[in-house]
Amino acid sequence: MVKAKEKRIITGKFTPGSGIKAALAGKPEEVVQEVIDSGLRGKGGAGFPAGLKWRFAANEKSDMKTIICNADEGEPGTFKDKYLLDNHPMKVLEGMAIAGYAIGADKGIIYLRGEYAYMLPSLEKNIEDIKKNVFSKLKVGKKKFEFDIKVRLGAGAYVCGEEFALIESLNGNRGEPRNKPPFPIQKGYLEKPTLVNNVETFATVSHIIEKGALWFGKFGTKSSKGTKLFSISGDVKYPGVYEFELGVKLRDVLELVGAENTKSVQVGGFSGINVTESSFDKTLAHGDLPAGGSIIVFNKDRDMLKVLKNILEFFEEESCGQCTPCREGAYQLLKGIKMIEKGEKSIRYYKDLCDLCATMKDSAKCGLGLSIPSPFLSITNNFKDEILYR
Amino acid sequence: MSEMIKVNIDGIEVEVESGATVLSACEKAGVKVPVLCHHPDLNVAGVCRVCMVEIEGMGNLQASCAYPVTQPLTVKTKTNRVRKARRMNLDLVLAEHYGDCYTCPRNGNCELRTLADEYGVDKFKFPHVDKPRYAKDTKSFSIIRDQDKCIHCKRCIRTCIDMQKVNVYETANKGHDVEIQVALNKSIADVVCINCGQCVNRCPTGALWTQDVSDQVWEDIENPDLFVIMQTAPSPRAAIGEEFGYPPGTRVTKKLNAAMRRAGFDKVLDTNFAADLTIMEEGTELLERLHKVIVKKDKSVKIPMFTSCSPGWVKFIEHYYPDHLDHLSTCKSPQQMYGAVIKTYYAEKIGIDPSKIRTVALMPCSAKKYECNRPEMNASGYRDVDYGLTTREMAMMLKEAGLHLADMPTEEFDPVLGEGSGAGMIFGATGGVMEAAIRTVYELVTGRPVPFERLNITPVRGMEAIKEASLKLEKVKKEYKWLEGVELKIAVAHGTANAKILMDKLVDGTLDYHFIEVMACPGGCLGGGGQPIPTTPEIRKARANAIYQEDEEIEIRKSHENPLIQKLYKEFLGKPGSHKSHELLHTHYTKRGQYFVKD
Amino acid sequence: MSVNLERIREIFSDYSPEKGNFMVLLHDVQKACGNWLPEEALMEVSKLAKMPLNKVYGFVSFYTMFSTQPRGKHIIRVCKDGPCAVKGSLMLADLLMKELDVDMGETTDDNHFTLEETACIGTCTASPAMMIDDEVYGNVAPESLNSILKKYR
Repeated sequence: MVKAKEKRIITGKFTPGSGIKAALAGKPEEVVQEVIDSGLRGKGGAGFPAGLKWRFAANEKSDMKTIICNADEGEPGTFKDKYLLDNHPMKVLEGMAIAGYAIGADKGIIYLRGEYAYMLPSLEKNIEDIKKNVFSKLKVGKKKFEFDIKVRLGAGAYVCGEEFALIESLNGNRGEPRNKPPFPIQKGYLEKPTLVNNVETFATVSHIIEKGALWFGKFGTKSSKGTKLFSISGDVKYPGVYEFELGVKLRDVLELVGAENTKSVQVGGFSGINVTESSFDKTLAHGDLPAGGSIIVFNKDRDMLKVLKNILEFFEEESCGQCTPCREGAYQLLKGIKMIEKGEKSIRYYKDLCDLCATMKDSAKCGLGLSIPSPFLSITNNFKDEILYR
Repeated sequence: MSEMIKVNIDGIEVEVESGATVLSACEKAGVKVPVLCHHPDLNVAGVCRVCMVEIEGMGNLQASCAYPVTQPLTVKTKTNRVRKARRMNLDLVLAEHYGDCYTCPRNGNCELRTLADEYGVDKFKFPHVDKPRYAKDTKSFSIIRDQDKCIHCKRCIRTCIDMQKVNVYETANKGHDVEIQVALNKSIADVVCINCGQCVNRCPTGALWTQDVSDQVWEDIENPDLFVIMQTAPSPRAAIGEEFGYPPGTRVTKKLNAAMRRAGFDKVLDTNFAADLTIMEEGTELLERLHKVIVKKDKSVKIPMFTSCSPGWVKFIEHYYPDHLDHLSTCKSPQQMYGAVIKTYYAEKIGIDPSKIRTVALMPCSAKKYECNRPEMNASGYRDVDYGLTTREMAMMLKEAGLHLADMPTEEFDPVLGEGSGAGMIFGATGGVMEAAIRTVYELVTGRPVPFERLNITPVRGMEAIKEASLKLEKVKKEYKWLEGVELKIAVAHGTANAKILMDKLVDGTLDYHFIEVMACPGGCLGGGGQPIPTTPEIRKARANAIYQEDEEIEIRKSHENPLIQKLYKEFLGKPGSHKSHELLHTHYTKRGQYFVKD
Repeated sequence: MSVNLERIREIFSDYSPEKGNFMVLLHDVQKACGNWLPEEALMEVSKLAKMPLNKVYGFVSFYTMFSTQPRGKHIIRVCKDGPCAVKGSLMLADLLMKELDVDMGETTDDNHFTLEETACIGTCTASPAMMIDDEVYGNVAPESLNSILKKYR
């Protein structure tokens, strides 16, 4: 599936057991330090430094901690976590075990989105394998190394990709994000400290621990170390999962995947931003274009109003619905754009919608609501004539 | 005490305990922050996003109700950015709220409308709901729900699930389809609702209300063939003033008597009298139970005995602990006892055919509406109580009739069955029934008044969640020899969540008391679901003070010393626990369980 | 169909009472009840999980893969998001509606198929995509639709 002449780390060669063995050779705090030194950022979208999160989690005192692998890959146009679980499951499982060792957790849960239920049997078999063939043969000092992994299913709720929503969902509740603080590393699954990382983060960790932070630091940019998987879809000749060094130019990516006649690109999924030709020379890295996992390409035949409505319909349905700016805000953005389309509202109403976006970005309760304005503002900005003056 | 942390609010420095919210720091600094989903009685939700503030060092605005202070903070509450966000979120709430304010029961007392006014809302920024989308749920005798007014603040959910542990409401669906629903979209009447009305008291809009019977009451007042008798409970008297602009805790009993007579009620009676009657019956029942358990070792008789005057509590136990109904006192509540006595003994006294009598009970309670409609409540041969009227409805009736309390003279209750003792009065506060009962039971058993200064049994007073006390019975009267040396253990719980703690212990077999008072509502009846809105811990305390003051001022402070009660037994009932008492004043309960029956 | 309460009890005994199992368990219960969760099933779940019915209902209604309305033997889910929407999932949905003679969200008269929309199923390299039960179909061309459906008829 991977076709690029890419820098392979995450999708590269890996000897099962090499990561966790390297981890167990050192102290837990050394593992945490290694992840901090690597400069790895969480691959779930927010880009928070992973090592820091691990340190916070390691510092929490508790009789029980849980590692959660966020496999609720719901961002439209994203399928790289599925790819990893299908093709490199051992790295992911091992990464979870490394995290468990580092922060002092002996249980891991993979939260797999409900739509991927068909992957369950193979995943569970892989877990059995790694427990039998790798974990059971390891020791921490004189004690046997133990790390249990279970798979738990979602049931169709995009918002459960948000870490607190995911935890609530596991806790047997509606997947509604909570107020922070306290954070999941303080009070998460079963109200105990919980470390949530993305599938890709765990896979990357296995390599970092195997080969060291120094090696990892050679890839990427100053503020975005390493590589990243991208799910590329839409109007391209070669859709698929690609691994690129962070800092890669969008234009190079588009060329590689055979994007022609490109009108715009949705970078970072629906919750990311829309860019056109003038931004193609920007790079995919922290602080530049959002390095989320999804890149959707639209060619010149595509109607951007339809695209925008599709995106807003998605958010209007997938908001958890608890906070006002997200629940009603997404609905009003969609309704507003439809009213402008039909001529029921004048173009001046667009300014009100932009004001609404400012409030949503400033006051929504979680990342979902905070990011809805991004696609709205970028698409309407890029295609004012096409969308507002048709 | 935990660490104190400095917070700077708009330049004003205050100190709050670590973990306190930014909102509470703002309150301390005297800075008002608008809220919709926040309520002082409830858990944090942080969903309406109206209380947003700027916190230095944070990228986004923060909900002050949900942000805990754990380090020194600098907060700004009135920047343009803050005001714009608040106003915008308010505009969004207004867009999804069906605002037909003229016809709304909360017209004039709506938190959303007040905020719209304070924030200068002069137009709908967004297309808004302008036609009702839902049918109102009016099937329950007590609670009415109008989902069109709902703004998804989840106060009702937090009240019902967290505060009362009743579990009627929950959020359903997601996205813009989110609704606050009863399980499977049933009617409130068909589920575990105990009618406590606490959700009504906390709803910021008119989405929740009580079944209003005032029109029927007006009809009956105007009907020349009918004789309409009002009985008033102590709690409305300590609260109805709030509806007329008096501060909470203002006692207006005697002005209210005058107003109700002018409104056309033929007699105005004091429910405290029936409360005294309840004490006589319940006290006797307690002693009988104790006798059977201690002397006769009768395993079929259950101790502890729970009070049964709170209809919300009664329905709670019927739903959640149907196998433990034997622990409930069989006594009817004062309201129902009074109804039964009015349509029998009193009807005869005043020479009026009971079929022509309508009894109306002014209660702080929404569950009383359900209680008086229970099919079994017809011991007099008629509906014992025809209407349960809430404090709010009474206030509305008086206003409608142009009767303002400030303009009223003071008037006494009607005689014959008129007055109650101070013991009856304190029924309105949590611990009150227990205190009244102990004043009587102790004296019956020992021949001496309770060993408390001025009869005030302070351990059972106050707003603590669960209160306990014990009282050693010594030098008892001859006929109670079997109680000599027994330590009478009692407990008091208010709010069904607290009652649940006791019930779970009962189920586990670890509950060691003889007598337990439970009131479904926080603070007891004075915090009832029919009381003026808003309700807060401070308001409830003020109402409790009013009630205890009135008790101290009443000459007779023990139920058994009320001469009218003695007369009633002598002329009509015989003695407490007599056959006739059982016929008229006692009842039975229904095992309901937690699930609705499929039609 | 009537609900097999015994089967639901069995499902419960298969799992430890840990909260994290609740979702998996409901998936199983839904399967056992014929792809939906009738009232009786929810009540039984509420009893067995010692979770009040309002919470069970609130939970179930949040997740789109659970249904409290009867559904057919097979559930067809058409992806409606992003890449698939661009590449003709609307047309695919139209075709299915015509072919099965139902609207979106409805069940065929013979209770055989329920047609639903789904959020992205991660098959964006092969848009438009759909799922029938647990099987994913990518690059669904109009002419291949009948042969796919045949497998389930």
